[in-house]
This record gives sequence, C-alpha cells and structure tokens, in this order.
Amino acid sequence: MTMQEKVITGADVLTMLIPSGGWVIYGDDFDSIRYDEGIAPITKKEFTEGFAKYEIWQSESQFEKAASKQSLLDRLGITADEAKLLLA
Amino acid sequence: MAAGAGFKTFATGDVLTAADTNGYLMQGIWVFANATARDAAVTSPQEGNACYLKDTDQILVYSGSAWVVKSGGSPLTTKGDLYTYSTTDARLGVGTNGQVLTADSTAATGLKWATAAGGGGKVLQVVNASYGTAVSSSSNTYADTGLTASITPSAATSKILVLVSQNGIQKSSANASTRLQLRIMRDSTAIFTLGTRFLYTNTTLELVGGSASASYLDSPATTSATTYKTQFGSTGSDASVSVQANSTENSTITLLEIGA
Repeated sequence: MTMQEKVITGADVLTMLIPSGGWVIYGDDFDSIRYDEGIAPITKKEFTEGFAKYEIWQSESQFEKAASKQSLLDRLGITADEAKLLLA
Repeated sequence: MAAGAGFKTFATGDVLTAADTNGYLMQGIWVFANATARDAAVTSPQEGNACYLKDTDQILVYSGSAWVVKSGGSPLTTKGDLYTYSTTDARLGVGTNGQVLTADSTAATGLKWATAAGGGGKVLQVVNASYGTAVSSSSNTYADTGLTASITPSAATSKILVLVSQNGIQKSSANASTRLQLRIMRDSTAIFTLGTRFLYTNTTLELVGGSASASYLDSPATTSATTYKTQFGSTGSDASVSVQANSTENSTITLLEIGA
C-alpha cells in the first residue's frame, strides 16, 4: 500500500500566505479569491509561486511546531507520553 | 325570387300587386337591413315570426317576448375561440398554454381559463443540480459553496422541498477550534442552518471526507423564478474548511415543487 501524494491546492497556498485566514477560493482560480474586510490581497505572482514554495513551508512549519513542542516538554521536564497522559 | 320588402299589414280593399306578392307574401322569412328597420316595420311581432338581418347575417325568431338568434352571426373570430353564452351568444377567447377551462359563476359566460390547480401533495416538478469544484474558506462570513438550483413554482401556494447533500466537507489542521458552518439560502434569504459545528474535534487534526445532508420544506409563496443554494464558512475564521474537497465528491441539490 502506498501513500497517496498530496496535491497542493490554492487553499493550501492561501493558508501559507495568509495564515490569519479571512479568504474564500473556488478551485484553484486566483480570480475567484474573495477576502474579508481588512485582509490584504495577495498578487497573482505570489499565488502562482506559492505552489512551488508550499512543501518547503509546510516542512519548516512542521519542524518549528515539533521544536516548539519539544522545547515546552523540556521546560516542563516531562516526556511526550507523560504529556498525553496529562491531557487524557 | 325578389328581394324581401319587409312587412306590411293589408287592409280591406287593398289591391294585391305582384310586387306585394313577391316582396311580402313570398317571404317566409322577412328580410331587413338591420334590427332597427325590422322593429320600425314590425311593431307587434307574434311568436314564431322570423326575420333575417343583413347587417349581422343572422336569422332570428320572435319568442313571444324577444327576437332570438337562431343561426348565423357566430361571435367566433380567433383561433381557439369557444362559442359560449351569457345573455346572448358570446365568444370566449382561448387561454394561455397549459391553462384549463374552469367553471366560474362570477364570469359573464360562467366559464374562464385558469391555471390548473396542483393536486394536493403531488410533485409538480423536480429540479436537480450538482457541483464538483472544491471551494475553501477561512472566513466566518458565509460564502457560496457553488451548489445552486432554480425553480419557478407553478402556483404561489406550492411548497418546495429542498434536498441537499453537501459532500466532501473537510477541515484543515491549522486550528483546534475550526469547524464548518452550513446553511440553505432562498435567493438572498437564509432559510435553514444545517449546523455550525460540523467537523469539530477540538484538535488540530485534519479531518477529511464527510457529508452534510438536509431536507427542508419551504413555502416561497411566489410564481417567480427562485434560486436555492448553500453557503458555508469557517467558524474558527482562521483555518480553512472545504466543500467538494475532492474531484470525486460532487454535492447535489434537488428541488421538488409540491402542490398545495
């Protein structure tokens, strides 16, 4: 059994470029993007280039999350399993 | 046969000429230019008297109280006309396509063309549509899912049964509070909220796949074209949710007009 390769979508790119949210997109159509009031629109160039940058961003983001998590566990002096136990 | 001369009462001693014979006695039916000429000539008609009026091309017989049309003079003028009667012969023009002839005592002829009443509880028409483009939102402001269908009710008393299957609903992993909200709109009016906590897990786990369904009985009270659609949003407003998230996950909407 093989893992299905994730297809990067316009929504993924917007999540990367505007992590605070406040947008809607239909398919991967740049022209369909609607923004909430106060959200600065992105350019078509940023959007198009975002597809190539997304995987790197996601890896870095996950790495940062993991590092933050480990740092917190270290400060608390507990393991991940012990943290799960506390949250259960 | 000489042309009819009208009516004449002969008196004792009158000489009966050939013209009198041809113009009066040979006339089984008196011929007049019009009703005015007839009434001027025949001041005391008797039951069974008959006349022909040139202007209207009608044969009339005196009933004892009035001249009654017995033939000719059809009031019909147009394709689809019906020959009816009020206090005299009357024309009833054809109705519009799909209308049926209905008894109506308030109408002059006792008849009218009217839209066929829907049989109570019967399905009068069905409209179906689907939509398969992925739509994502990270806004808590409702946005169209792209799923939409329009229907024109045949009667204002009809109800519309709205059946929705919103497929491929999905939430991203960005925020634990993320959840999907979904509602049904009639034109610009929200008529039914399916829910505001779809896919809520209180974790940052991505949740893929799923469906939200609803059936809602609406009373639009109109015979104008009416559009039904669904709208969605991300209640968390900072992480995205999607509908029709995968190309195989088409959403469907079905509208059934139910007769009153």
